[in-house]
Amino acid sequence: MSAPTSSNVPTALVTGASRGIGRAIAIGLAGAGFDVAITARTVHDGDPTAFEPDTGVPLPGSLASTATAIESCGRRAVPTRLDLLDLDALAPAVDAAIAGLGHLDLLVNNAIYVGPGAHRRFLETEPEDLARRVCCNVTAQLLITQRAIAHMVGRGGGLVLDISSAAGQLTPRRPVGEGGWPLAYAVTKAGFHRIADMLALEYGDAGVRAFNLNPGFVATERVLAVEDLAFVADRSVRPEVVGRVVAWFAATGQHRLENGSYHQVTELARELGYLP
Amino acid sequence: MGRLQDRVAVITGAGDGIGRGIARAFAREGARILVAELHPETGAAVADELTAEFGAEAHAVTTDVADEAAVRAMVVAALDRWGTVDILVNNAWGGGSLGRLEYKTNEQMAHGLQVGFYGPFWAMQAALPAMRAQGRGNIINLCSLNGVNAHIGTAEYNCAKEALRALTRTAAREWAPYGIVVNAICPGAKTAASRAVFAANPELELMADAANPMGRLGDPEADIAPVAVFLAGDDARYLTGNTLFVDGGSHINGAPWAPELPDRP
Repeated sequence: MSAPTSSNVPTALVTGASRGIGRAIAIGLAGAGFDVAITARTVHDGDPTAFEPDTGVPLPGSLASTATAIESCGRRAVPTRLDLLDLDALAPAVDAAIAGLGHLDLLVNNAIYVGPGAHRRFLETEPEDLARRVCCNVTAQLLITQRAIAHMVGRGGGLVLDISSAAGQLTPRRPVGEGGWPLAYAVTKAGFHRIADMLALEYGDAGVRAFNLNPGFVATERVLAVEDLAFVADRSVRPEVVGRVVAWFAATGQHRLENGSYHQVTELARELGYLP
Repeated sequence: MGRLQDRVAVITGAGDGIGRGIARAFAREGARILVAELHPETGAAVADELTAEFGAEAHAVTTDVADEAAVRAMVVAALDRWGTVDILVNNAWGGGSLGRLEYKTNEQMAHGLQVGFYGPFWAMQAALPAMRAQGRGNIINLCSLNGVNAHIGTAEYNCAKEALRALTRTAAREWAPYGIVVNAICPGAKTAASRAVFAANPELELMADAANPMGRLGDPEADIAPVAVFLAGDDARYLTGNTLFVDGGSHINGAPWAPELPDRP
């Protein structure tokens, strides 16, 4: 996986790509001709991280299995194990991706913190857990993005897609446990949501394009395994739809839409005919 | 415990004929089947049939094997669902023409190679990473006596199938170190395509049966598929690069296949 790459092949780094939305985005991009670097904690299926943290339900997926699917699309995969909690490892992981790919055209910030206690109200959330969630849902993305766009600015530009969430903008009708999402998730997603528009403001002139994409409700392996997320599963689209929309966004959408803007994957998917 | 228990098999053109016969035999042996088929209705019907009759895990994907992206997506669909691909059967064929070589168009020849050669080539490339990672894989390519014996009137089919046999041997050598075996079956069977020809020309069916040393063309499920089960399983782990003629002995009997050809297209 260290063969030299031709600079005319488009390249992407997708974080959190062992399963779910990240895996689908990585495969969607590979299907559209991208060589893809991927990060996640789970290296092989069945590793200790391959379980839903609250229930212990095993979850399929790993860096190895996503890399296999990327290669099945005829593209190159550059996998790097990365835990968002390990702040010192973030910029080196971006460097490893760039070194493996030869250059970087697209960063997809998809990974977020996954750990026990995700479905608790504010007072039931341990202080250390609050700090971990802010660290892994905001700080980590800032550090990854900083390294990536330093490279992009040096090359005359690049694209950043931030996988956002309605939780970052809206107040749910009911609290967590009764059909809504928890405070800590909402706060960190709100912070994360402001990266794209500010990147566009500060580095748009340097060729950086940045967008927020809200995937909406997606039937990931974790969603299907957790009873508290049944409300998501009921209204969800398949992860492959998100992958197709991101591939379209990288090829076409980024040039048609206003830099720094925010888009709903399901709306784009309907316009593109990927959803009825 | 079937002979292919829990093995993941991708079978192209599994909506009818030999592909369906192989899918049914694999399902009976416990395999999980991705029914890759150009026609969504027949593909879904076969997947349902495999589940209903054999309790098999089966899933249909609409696949045009002339479309590289669709072929690769077919393999990714198996990876998404079951995590690997153990068995690949390149069986699909369609869109050939019957006519003299001197009147074959570039488009006819290109289409034949696209469906009969490039489709299997892409599928094999796409299946390789998973097979290599697990150190095991069984690939079966459906080829034809039409190519081996040079039956007249089907130049694009003959050329695609013989190119596929060359690819079979090449892959067998290059991928042997990964534990992947690659073999070809040249069947003599009443296929989906031949049914239409025989329906229009009943005397041709009698001739074809009579010309076979066993007095009949084979049945996809009862005669051809059992050999595919063997090639798809561990019993064939040291058998690679071969062509098995599953034809009642037709290949040692010469080929009296000589249809009337139109003078012009």
